[in-house]
Amino acid sequence: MDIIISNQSQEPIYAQIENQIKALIMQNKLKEGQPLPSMRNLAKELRISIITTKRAYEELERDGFIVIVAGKGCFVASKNIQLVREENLKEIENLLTKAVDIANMCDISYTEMQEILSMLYEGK
Amino acid sequence: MKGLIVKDFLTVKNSLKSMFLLSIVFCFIAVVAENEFFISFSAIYFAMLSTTTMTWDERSKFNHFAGIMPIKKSDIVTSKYIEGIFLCIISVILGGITSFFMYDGAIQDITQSIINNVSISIVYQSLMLPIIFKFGVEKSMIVLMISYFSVFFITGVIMFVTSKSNVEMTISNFENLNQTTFLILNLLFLVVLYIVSMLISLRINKNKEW
Amino acid sequence: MDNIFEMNNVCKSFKDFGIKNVNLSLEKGYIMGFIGANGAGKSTTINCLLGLLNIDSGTVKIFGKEKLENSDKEKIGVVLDGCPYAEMLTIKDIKKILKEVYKSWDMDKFENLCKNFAIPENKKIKEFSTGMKAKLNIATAICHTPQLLVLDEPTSGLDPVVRDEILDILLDFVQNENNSVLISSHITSDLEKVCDYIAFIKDGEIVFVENKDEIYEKYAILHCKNDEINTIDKSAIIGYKQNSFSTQALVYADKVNGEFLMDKPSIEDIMLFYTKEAK
Repeated sequence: MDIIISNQSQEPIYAQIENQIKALIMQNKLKEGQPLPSMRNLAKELRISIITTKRAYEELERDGFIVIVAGKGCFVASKNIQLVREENLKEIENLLTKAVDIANMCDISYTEMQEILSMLYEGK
Repeated sequence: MKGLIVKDFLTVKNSLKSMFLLSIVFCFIAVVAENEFFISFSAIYFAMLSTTTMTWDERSKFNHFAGIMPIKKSDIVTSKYIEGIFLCIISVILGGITSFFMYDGAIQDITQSIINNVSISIVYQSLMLPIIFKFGVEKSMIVLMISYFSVFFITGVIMFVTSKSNVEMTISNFENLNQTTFLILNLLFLVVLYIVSMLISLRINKNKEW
Repeated sequence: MDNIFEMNNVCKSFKDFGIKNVNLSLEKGYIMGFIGANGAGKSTTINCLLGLLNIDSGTVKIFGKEKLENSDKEKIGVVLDGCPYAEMLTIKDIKKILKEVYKSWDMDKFENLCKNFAIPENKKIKEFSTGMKAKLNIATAICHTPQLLVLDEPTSGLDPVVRDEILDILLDFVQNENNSVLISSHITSDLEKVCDYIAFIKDGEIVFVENKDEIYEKYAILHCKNDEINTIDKSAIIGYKQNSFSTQALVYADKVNGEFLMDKPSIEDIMLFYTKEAK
């Protein structure tokens, strides 16, 4: 499992961890039921506070990506990935709705929006 | 407790060795010069080792750190008194062997000599230990100086008294009984003195913030 | 909440100094950093916690108990200022002593650690450098399998490489979630690396005890022009300093009205700015 964190980034460290694990799960690099390193172990390896890793894991559990089993450890959740994907699609829809509203306000056409979108995808 | 005794032993290990050698030299001199005075030196030197360990404790502030070690506070005191007995025994053995040669096996004289050594050792420690526990080593130095000289005085007194009573006893013909009684009383006095000293030290130590 | 130690309203005063109403507690499984200027009360607080000083008022509990038994002291590893061993002793001697003092003494661990730290067995303490003494103190603190480590400036005098090794040891130590560490240090960068909580003491009183992450969210270093400082809400500013060209201020991030350049504060920044309190 690869996790890279930056102390200089504006994004809080727990969020960096959370997002990277989410991405790994979504890309199927972390499989269902796969055990994750313990909060303490992750904290030690990354040289960060246990509270940070705890928070990241708790957020991940809250969003349904992992399950924390007391006494056993943390595992990639099996059932809810589909639901989470739907959640993310909803989020994308919301953001795009906002973008479309702004576009309409300043007369930006659908074609221009398409160009912007493909430019963004190519950039990645 | 054992840890404290091991610590003190290792601290004065080298001093013990050199004192041992020095005492042997003095004991030779005592036999040759037929003067008991030199045997007493071994008693004094070994007795002073207990105060030496306290000097080192003070310098390294060991007793402060001992507050958070699994060591009973009272052990700081009792370890010194147990060590004191060992030191007394060492000087007794040395003194005993020396006086054996000095007095050619005369039991009364040897016993007397041994009791002298025990007295010096026990009296010294009984006086010094509570004072050092109370005031620390530096302030006790003055008392140390006084006691250094008074040890000579006490030895002289003991020798004078015993020689006097020897004279009296040969005259009175009750020499054995009186001698034995005197010895027993002497020992009893030392035991009581030592125990009282330890109780006083324990009391002082209990209230002390190291 | 499973606290490994609790200090409640602890007061201890000396002639011209003291600590007042100190409230400090730490849960099992975490590392707390303790910062403060020299003379602020860190060592006094630590000595009161360990029972080496009698407190004037308040309560101190370790492992839930106010009075520590010898079996509790076995579980506390301590590094304080100074080295408690007479100068003519060697590591060989100290091994023999501590083996008798601690029932839970781990000789193998100690010998390995001494090897790793390159502390020679037969050298007398008086010939040790400051760094070696510091390493020895740490080794003796952790090698009797404690649950609580209380370290008063354990790494002063050590080079960054060794300090890093020691931080690793501390992180390893709390892999067991029953273990905790209280570490006071001036080397705030070390604390930033491993601590979960930071406690700050100033003039004998605890200023804050915060979760380290929350510190970065709660506080910020604000940069502004010298004449702009007065436009900022006074209650947002903790302290500031000015040079000929600009002002830097430590602020509560959410209380600042207006758009200013704000940086993440380091623990050192927080300590410095708290001592330059806004008039």
